[in-house]
Amino acid sequence: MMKKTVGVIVGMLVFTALALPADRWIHVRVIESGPDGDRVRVNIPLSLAEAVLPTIKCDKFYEGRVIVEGHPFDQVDVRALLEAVRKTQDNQYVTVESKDQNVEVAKAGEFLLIKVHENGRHGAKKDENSKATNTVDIKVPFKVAQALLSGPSDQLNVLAAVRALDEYQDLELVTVKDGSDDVRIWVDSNNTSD
Amino acid sequence: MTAGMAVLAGTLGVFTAGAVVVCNEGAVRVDVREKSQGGNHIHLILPAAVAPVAAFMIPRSKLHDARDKIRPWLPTIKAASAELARCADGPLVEVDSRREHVRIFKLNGSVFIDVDSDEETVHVSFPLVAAADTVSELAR
Repeated sequence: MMKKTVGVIVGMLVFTALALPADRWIHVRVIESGPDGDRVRVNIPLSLAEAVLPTIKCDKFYEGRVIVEGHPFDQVDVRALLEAVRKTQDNQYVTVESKDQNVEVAKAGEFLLIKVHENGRHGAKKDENSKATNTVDIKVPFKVAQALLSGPSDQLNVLAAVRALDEYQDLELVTVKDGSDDVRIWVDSNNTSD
Repeated sequence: MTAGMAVLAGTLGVFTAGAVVVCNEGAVRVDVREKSQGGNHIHLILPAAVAPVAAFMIPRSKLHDARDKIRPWLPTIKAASAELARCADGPLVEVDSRREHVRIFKLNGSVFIDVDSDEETVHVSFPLVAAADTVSELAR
């Protein structure tokens, strides 16, 4: 009888542990190359961001929203543009190729992909540095982008974006590879970076 | 049992209960050690249960404008403490540079802050349950 009771309790505990959704964590990792390079790792539970953001009241940050008035985006209906891209089929919509950098904006399923590929440094001499290329990869779910733009036109709703981010499993948001720096921002269920 | 023994047993019971409460709440630890020759070393351990009381005892005049600076951030500190207490243990911030190493992590309901720089080492830890109450008292 005792064994059965203990077995049932253990079973219930295991079931409860499995049924509870794991915390989602946003990770930021910055690594400078070289032996003296700085290394920064930040791991924040999304639930912590969700709890804290509404309480912050600063100059341009209020109730989880950032005021971005006076930004050039005021002149463009970004929301309509985003919605139009979201509804169309997967494709590479913007390609800008120049001597210094290439920019690509594409839609792949529910994600907006932005790639910036910089060809060497401005004014770099024809040495080792000139070979160094900088790449920026941004992968944003449309839901998150829409949540970010869900407030008035002069505001970015960061809190809504964080909440929307919570719906996704492992997600690589930003990867920056500079000649010397490596920046990575991602979301997963691990409470440590790697 | 004589009356004296009853009083002794009661006193011991109260002290034991107090000790249990204090131990359960954990402790606030501050350890600052300057690396320079003859540098200062500050070591402080304060039972977390006593921290809000200690904050209450600080004369308001000594806090100057600290209260006004803390007060707007009280809701943020309370929300962060409550949510962090619920989250899994682990590293929150790690910074490694040539001159400085910083670690902020959560373990067993407490937040630990370790800084090791060229000038000093700093270790601070505090139970999350005490953080909001202590800061509330400081801001009162």
